[in-house]
Amino acid sequence: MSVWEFMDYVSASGQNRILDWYEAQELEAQVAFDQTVYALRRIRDWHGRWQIKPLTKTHAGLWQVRFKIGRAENEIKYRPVGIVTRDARVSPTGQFVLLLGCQKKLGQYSPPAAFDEALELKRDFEAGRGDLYEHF
Amino acid sequence: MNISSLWKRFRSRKYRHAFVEAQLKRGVPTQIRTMRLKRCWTQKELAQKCDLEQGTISRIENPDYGQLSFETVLAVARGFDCAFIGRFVPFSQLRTLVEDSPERDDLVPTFEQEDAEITSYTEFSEEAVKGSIAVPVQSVVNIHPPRRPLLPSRRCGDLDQGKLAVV
Repeated sequence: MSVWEFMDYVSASGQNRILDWYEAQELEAQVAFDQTVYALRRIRDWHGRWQIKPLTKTHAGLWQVRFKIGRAENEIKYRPVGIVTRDARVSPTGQFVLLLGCQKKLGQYSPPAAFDEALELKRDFEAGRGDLYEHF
Repeated sequence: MNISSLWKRFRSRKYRHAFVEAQLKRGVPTQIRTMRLKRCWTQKELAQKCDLEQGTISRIENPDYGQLSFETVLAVARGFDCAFIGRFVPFSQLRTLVEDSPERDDLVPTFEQEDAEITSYTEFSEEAVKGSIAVPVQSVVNIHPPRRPLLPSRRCGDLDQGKLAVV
């Protein structure tokens, strides 16, 4: 009973950054990401859910999917980024476009300018460049 | 019948068992936190209802804690006044649970809430059968009482963070 569809943004040059990121992750992170996405697909109103949050200020318009693995100094916070292109609260189904993956360890993001890059991908998508592929 | 992408991933033994492990170790803490917030309870309030320490609630709500015991889970079930069933199932059932179950399944009502709903349904049906509620006889078997939300719809605490933009 999915109320949201998750899509991968594939740039005009054919790069699927979310898939590239996913495939570079350890199995544990892949599974945790999949479960987070499966859970979010079933939740119509993401308001207040900690698994996804809107970014603010200079990165407003972007959303980060959130999960973490490990504890203390081994903790990695995963923050794949995307945009809401159709809100499930006002449509029968919502659509969320995954732009790229990133993670944070000891306060350092990887890639370091992930959110700026995501904004560029957002602009490309909104300009009609690139394609959307079903994430699952 | 389409083979879902999750099922295709399950064809990897390593993946499917990692998924099962994560479903339990990450899924249960996530559900505890979701249910607590839906009830507008603080960790302290849930701890009191479960007869546990607040620190224990904090730990078991962490998806990376990974050391949940049955004893603690059962204490939480008592606190929420709901059931917890741990049982072995085929992977097809796990797939259905992950892909097809509605959101409502995560928002488990208490026994009292369920009991009120079942009682109201039964009374409504009985009244309808007796004829004190005017409904066509042939439709009695299909009668459903007005649905009441099983959980409070108000928002509170952490649930007020963030707003979903309409694009």
